[in-house]
Amino acid sequence: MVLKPVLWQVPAILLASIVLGLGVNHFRPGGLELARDWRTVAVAEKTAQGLPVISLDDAAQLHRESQAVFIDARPQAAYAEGHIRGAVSLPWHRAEEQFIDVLPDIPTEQTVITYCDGVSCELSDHLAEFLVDLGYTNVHILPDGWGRWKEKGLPTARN
Amino acid sequence: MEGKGASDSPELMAPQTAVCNSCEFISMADKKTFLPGALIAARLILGALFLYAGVPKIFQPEAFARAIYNYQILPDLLVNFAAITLPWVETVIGIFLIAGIWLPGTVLLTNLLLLTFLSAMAFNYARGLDIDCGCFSTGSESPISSITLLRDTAFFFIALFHLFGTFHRRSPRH
Repeated sequence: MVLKPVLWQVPAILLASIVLGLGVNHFRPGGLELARDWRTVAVAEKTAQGLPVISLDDAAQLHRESQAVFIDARPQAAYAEGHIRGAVSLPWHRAEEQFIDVLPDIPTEQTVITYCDGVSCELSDHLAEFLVDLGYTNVHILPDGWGRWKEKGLPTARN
Repeated sequence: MEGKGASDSPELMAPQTAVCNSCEFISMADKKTFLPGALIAARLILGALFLYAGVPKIFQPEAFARAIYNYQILPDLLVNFAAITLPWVETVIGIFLIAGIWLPGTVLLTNLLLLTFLSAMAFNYARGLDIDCGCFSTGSESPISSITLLRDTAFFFIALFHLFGTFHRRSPRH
């Protein structure tokens, strides 16, 4: 039977590698901890980099009071699948072509919040910098905006 | 001469036809020498590739964990575990491929891993994430692009060829 050796070889290779990895990591100086709250770490790092990070609670309050314009920096297809209710789409990869259609409606002194999906996503960071360069004076970044917004059950929309 | 010594049968010594208009004209001797040779080459290439990919990451677990995290596919709790163990899986597979150990299992695992890597890259390329590939070194290398996708697709086809070669040869009908 051709598949018979595969049935024990694949688990054996994986098991041996896992034991080796965990063993070496345990005994090496400065080994990684087995689990980490990456989201907290990443938000803290963005703040430490001096990026204008806004908390989810503050962003939600501004949203409730209609005091901020939310700009979705993800690709158009992701925006169409779901976005923060009322947000406008300005995908970072097409920002230079599309900003002329989107931004004239938004005054430069308006509070603007950029977001994308995942804390490590930098599309919102790039877009925020771009907006500042265009003269916007009140730009904030909501790290992992879409993911956390959905998780918290805050208002969303499609298309 | 390449392939010489694989068999002492007289067919091997026969002059080859200058032009092969149809694969039917490829002699049995050609098949017997070309296919094993190509399989060995594929195995060694893949083995070297996996060693090249795995060993540096063993020494940079923090940077590799960050690369995995940036892919945003695994839950946070599994990121560090993957960063600790995946380089060893790659390294062990690399050694086994080169040494020819437990080939059916190793080859299947090679294909599964490459397919997983390719899918993860394609997924993030499609959703527009601007992240490093994290494929080989964990430093600042090229981000996921059509070039890295094409490169990994080529590796995957080499692995697929080796998979079919391995299991085809081991099949009782052949």
